Amino acid sequence: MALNVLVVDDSAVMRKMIIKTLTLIQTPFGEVHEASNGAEALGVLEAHRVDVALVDLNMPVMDGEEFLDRVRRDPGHADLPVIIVSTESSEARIAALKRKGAWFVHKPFSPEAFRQAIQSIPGVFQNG
Amino acid sequence: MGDLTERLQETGALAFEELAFVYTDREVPAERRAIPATAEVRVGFRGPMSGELLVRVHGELLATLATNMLGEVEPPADRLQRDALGEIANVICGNLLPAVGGASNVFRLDAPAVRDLRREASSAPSGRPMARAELALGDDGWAELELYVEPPSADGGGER
Repeated sequence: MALNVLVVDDSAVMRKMIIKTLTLIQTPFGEVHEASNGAEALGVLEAHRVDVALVDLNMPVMDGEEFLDRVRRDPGHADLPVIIVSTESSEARIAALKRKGAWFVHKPFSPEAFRQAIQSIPGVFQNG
Repeated sequence: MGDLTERLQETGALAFEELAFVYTDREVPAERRAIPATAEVRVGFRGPMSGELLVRVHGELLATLATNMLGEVEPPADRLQRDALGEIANVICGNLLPAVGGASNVFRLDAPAVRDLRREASSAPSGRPMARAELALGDDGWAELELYVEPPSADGGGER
């Protein structure tokens, strides 16, 4: 099954880097949507089917953590797999994000880091 | 202080090499020092302490950095070239802060503010940086990296 992906980052260059990296990990992706902050991303979720969201933390308007909180409170999207893609290095903050059901990929990232994160999401690519 | 300077140089090298595929060297050749600055970016941070990271690039590197980051052949628009340098600075700052404030503390980063010094004046922070490092970039450029930390406020709070 091809995955529909939502990439959320206020840097257009970083969004394109993430999308390019996803193409390198030989995972079947379908539609790729982009948003430059959490508020825009919520709008994308209302308009499109999204299977996994890759989300930066530090963004204007609505940051990645608030986006994650709102998604988890929304019965329609509460189970959406969210991968935080960030330079965040605080062990406490990363642990808190993981308790909210997020995966974490550290910037700068490798294709392997994305592969591991995506393949560890239950129900997604269970056959690797 | 020496450790922080070392860490600043390490995180700078990591970001330029892994994001933009530009090789770095800790020694800037003397003949490059006359190359004018072409762009600078400031990233503010807030947390247990506040401050800014400044990255100033010398040489015509903006197009190279962005082209490499995007994996394209032709240089992208100026907007994306500035965005690319901003993201490099953002990654340096985020990876440097544990060395400044400890791995358990949470910092919030501001959006990078990029200035094209071919068209705009520099806006470097006043005061002396807490740490400063230099990197040779590619064949004919170099970068200055400076970390500024604000003195603690009277009430002892750091976060704005």
